[in-house]
Amino acid sequence: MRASILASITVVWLALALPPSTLAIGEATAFEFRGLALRGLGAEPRPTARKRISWAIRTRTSVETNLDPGRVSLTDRALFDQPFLYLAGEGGFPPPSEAEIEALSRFLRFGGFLLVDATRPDDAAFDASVRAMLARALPSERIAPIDPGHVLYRSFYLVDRPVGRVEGPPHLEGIDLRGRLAVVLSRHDLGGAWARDNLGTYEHSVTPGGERQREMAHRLGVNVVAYVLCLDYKDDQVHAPFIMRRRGGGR
Amino acid sequence: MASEVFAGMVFDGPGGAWAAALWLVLVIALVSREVKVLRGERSPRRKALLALRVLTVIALFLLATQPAFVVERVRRIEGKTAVLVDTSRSMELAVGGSTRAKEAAALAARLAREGAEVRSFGDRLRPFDPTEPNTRRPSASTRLIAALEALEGESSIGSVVLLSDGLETERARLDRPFRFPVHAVAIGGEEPRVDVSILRLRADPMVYLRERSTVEVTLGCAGACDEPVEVRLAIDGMVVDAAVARFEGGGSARVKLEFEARKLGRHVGQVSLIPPEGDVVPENDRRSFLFRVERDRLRVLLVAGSPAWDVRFLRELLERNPALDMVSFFILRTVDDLTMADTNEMALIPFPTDELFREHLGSFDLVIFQNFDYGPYRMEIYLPRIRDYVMRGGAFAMIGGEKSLSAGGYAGTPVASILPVELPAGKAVDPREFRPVPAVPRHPLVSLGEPAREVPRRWAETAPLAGWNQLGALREGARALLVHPFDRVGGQARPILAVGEAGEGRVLVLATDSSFRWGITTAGARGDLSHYERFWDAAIRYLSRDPSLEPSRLSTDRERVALGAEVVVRGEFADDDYEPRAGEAVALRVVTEAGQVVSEAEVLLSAHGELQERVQAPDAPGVYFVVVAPQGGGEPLASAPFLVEGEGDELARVRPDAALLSQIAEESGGRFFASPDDVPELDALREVEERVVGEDRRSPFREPWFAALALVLFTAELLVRRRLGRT
Repeated sequence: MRASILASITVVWLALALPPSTLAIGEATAFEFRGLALRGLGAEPRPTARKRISWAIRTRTSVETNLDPGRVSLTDRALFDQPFLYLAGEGGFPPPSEAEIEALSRFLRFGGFLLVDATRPDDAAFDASVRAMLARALPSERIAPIDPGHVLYRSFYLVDRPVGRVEGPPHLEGIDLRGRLAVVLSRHDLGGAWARDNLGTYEHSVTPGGERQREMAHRLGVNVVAYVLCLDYKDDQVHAPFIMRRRGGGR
Repeated sequence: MASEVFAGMVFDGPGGAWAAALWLVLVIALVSREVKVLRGERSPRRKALLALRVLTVIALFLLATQPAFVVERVRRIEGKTAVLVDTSRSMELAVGGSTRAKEAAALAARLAREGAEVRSFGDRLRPFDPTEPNTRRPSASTRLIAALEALEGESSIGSVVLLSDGLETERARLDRPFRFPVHAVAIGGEEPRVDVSILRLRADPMVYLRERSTVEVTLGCAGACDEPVEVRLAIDGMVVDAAVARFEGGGSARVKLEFEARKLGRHVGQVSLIPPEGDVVPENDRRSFLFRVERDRLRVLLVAGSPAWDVRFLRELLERNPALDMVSFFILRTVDDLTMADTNEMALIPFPTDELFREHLGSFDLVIFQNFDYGPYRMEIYLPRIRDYVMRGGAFAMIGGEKSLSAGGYAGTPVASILPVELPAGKAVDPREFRPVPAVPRHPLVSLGEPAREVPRRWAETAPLAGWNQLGALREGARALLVHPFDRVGGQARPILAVGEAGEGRVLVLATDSSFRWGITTAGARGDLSHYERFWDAAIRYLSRDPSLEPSRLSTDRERVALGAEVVVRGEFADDDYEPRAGEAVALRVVTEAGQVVSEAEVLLSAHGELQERVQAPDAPGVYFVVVAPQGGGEPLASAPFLVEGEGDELARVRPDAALLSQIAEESGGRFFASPDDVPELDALREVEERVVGEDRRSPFREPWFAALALVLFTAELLVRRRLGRT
C-alpha cells in the first residue's frame, strides 16, 4: 500500500529555468537549524552538525537556510523568532525550571517544532531526561512511534527507515499536536552522520551501512525540515488532482 | 301571512315531563286496581264504575301535569340575491370586441336593476358599483371559493349569482357545498386564439456559488399550439440559457434551464418566452424570481516559491479552515539544487503550470502567490490569464519575499497592471526589521474587530517584521492599509499592505515574508496567537467579497412581499475608509429592474451611519430594488432586490374554467349558465325560505272550567261508590 502511494507521487521534477539564489528579505526569515541549549546538558556533542545539514538543505532544496545557525535557551527572548529547535546531547540533565517548561510548552503549542537526537541508542539517561521534560511541557500528550507511512518519510526524499551515525531502532518517535508532529525523537545520532570538520572531512564513521547510510541520514534531515515547513503538503498533492477535477470551468 | 304548524307538546305542571311520567304510572295503577276490584260485579255496573274511575283519574292527571301544545307561526321569506363579479386581472382579457370584465359588468348592472346586491371579488370581497366598474385596479389573484365562503356568514343572503371566468388561483377544487344555491355564469366562453404562458416556475431560493442550478419551467398553451416556443433564462438581466418548448400531445410543455451562480448575495432571475404571433396575453410571457447565492467552500490556490515559515503557517491556517477548499503547490527544489539522488528516490512532482493556469484557474475564488517568482517556470504566457481572471471577478493576493513583487520580476508584467501599487524597478527589498502602522484603522483587515482607537496599540504590540519589499505609489482607487513607519515613497508613507479593485476582482499586496511573526512570535511574548489568524481570516473574506465586510450594506426584512405591502429597509453605510457616513442625507429609492424610479425619499443616516426605514411596495408585481445613493447624486452606495408577488398564477391560465363553475353550481343546488346571454330574470333565481316568525303555547287544562269538571267527576265517583257501598 505504502509502495503504491509512493510510486504514485514520485514524478520527475521538471523546472525549466535557473532561478537566482539570493538571501531572504531579512536573514531572520531564512530557515535556521537552531540548537537548544539546556542548563546542565553540557556542550553540543556534534557542534558542526547543524551548520553542515543547513548547507545540505540549501544545496539540495529550495529552502533558504541560515548557514550559521545559533543556539537559544528556553528563556531566550528570541526563542519564538524561529519555530525550530534541535536538541542533541549525551547523558542526563537536570529538570528545567517551571519557566523553561512553560516556554517550551508554549513554543510547541503555538506551532514550534523540536527535533531530539540522542548520540547513542542506549543512552537511557538522556532519553529519560528528555521524556521527563516533555511530559511536563505537554502533560496530556504521549510519545508514540511514528508510522512508517507518515509524510515525514516522503516530504522530500523517499526514506524507508530512520538511520543516522548508527542504525538505531527501526522507527522514530514523536508527539502529534492536532495532526502536526511537534516533537520528533531520534536515537540514531543524526548529527554524528552530518558532522564535518572545517576541511570537509566527516568526523565520524557511520555503521553499519557506511556512506550510503550517511546519505540516508542527510536525506532524513532534509525531510524533517521539509516536513516542518510544509507539514502534510505531500498528502495534499495526492488529493489535488481530484479537487481540481471536480471543480469545473469557472471564470 | 303566517301559517301555524304544530311543533310539539310540553308539560307545565310541577316536575315537567318527568313528573308527568310518574303521574301516568299512578293512573295506570289505579285503573288496573279498579279492574281487579270490579271483577265479579254485574256487567252494567262494572262498566259504569270503571268508566267513572277512568275519567276521574285522567282528569286529575291532566290537572296535575298541565300538558300544553306548542304551535309555531311560519312565514315564507324571499332571501337576498347577491351578485359576485370577478374583478381579477384575467377578466381584463379580450372577448370578441369587448372584455370579460365588461361582459360581467353589463350583466351585473342588469341584475342590480332587478334588485340584486352586487359585490366584487379578486383577492377579497368588496362593494361594487356596476355602473362604474373601473374604479379599482384589477386584482392579482382570484380567490373565488374564499369569496363564496365569506358570504356564507350573512344570513340574509338566499342565493348567489357568480360572474367569473373560473380561473381560481388559490384552491384546486371545492371542498364542500355552500349554504345557498350558487348560480354560476361563465364569462369569456370563447377562449383566446393563441396564448402561450408560463404556468409554473420552480427555482431553488438558495444556490451555491459556482454550482450549476436548474430552473424548471412549465408552459401552457391555449389555442393553436403547433409552433415551438423559445424560452430564455436571464440572471441579473443577462441571458444565460435558452431552450425550445414543444407542445406535443396537449396544452403544456416543460423545459429545464441552467445557470451558474457567479456572485454572492441576492440576485434576480427572469424566465421569458418568445411569444408566437397573435399571443393575446403578453403579461404571462415572463416570470421573475429571487435567489440567494451562498458559498459552500471558498476555493483557494496557494503557490509558494519555496518552503518557509511564512508559507508553512499560512498553509496550516488555510488548511484548518473548514470553509476552504485549498490546492497548494510549493517549489521544493529547482534545477540548480543538487539533490544527490535519482528522481525515483524523491517524492516530487512537476509543477503543473499548464493545468493550473490554463485549465483550472477560473475555478478558484482566490489565488495567492507567496514569495513566488514566475520566471524559472516560464510562466510569462500565463500572466495575462491571471490578469484576466482577476478582471472577471477573481481575487488575487501577492505576498512578499525575495522572489516576489519587484524582486520576482513582476514589474511591467500583466500581473503588475492589476496590483494596487506601482512596482519599482530592481530588486527593491530592505532587510531591516520594522513594525507596520495602520493607515485605515476602521478597515476590517486592520481593525480585526477592535474599536478604531485600539487599533494602533494592537499593531504596536505585534512582533516586528523581518524586512520588506519596497512598493511604489498607490494606484488610483487603491488603499494602503498598513504603511512603513518611516520609509516613504512620493511623499507618502510606503505601503506595506495595500488593497484595490481590478475590473470585477480584488487584489491584495502584502510586502513582507514574515507575517507569521504576528502569530507565533507575537504569541511568545503575549500568549495570544489570534492577531495572525484574525488578519488572514479577514483578508481571505475581504478578497472573496464576503458581504459582511463591505463598507455599505442594505437589506430588506423580506425578499417577497405582497402588492402595496410595507417593506422594512435596514442598512449601514461607510465610506471607502470604513468611516461611518454619520448624519449624511441619502436618497432612498425604489426602482424597477429597468432602473425606473418608482418612489424616492430623502433620509438622514444616524450618527453611526445606519438607516432603518419603511417603504411601500409598488402596486404592480415584479422585481424591484431598494437603492440608497448620495443625495447630491453619484454612484449608489448599496442596493437590495425584493420581489412583489402578484403576477404569480393569475395570468398563468387564460382559458375560462367552466368545469369549476359548473361543479360549484351543481353541488350547491344552483344553475350553471355557459353564457351571460342565458341568464334569466332575477326573480327566477331568487330563493324563498320558510322562516319561523313566532311561537304559541296552548294550555287548555289550565282553564277553570276544566278544574270544575275534574272536581265534578271526582265528586260523582265518590257519591256513586258510597251509594253502592264501595269505598
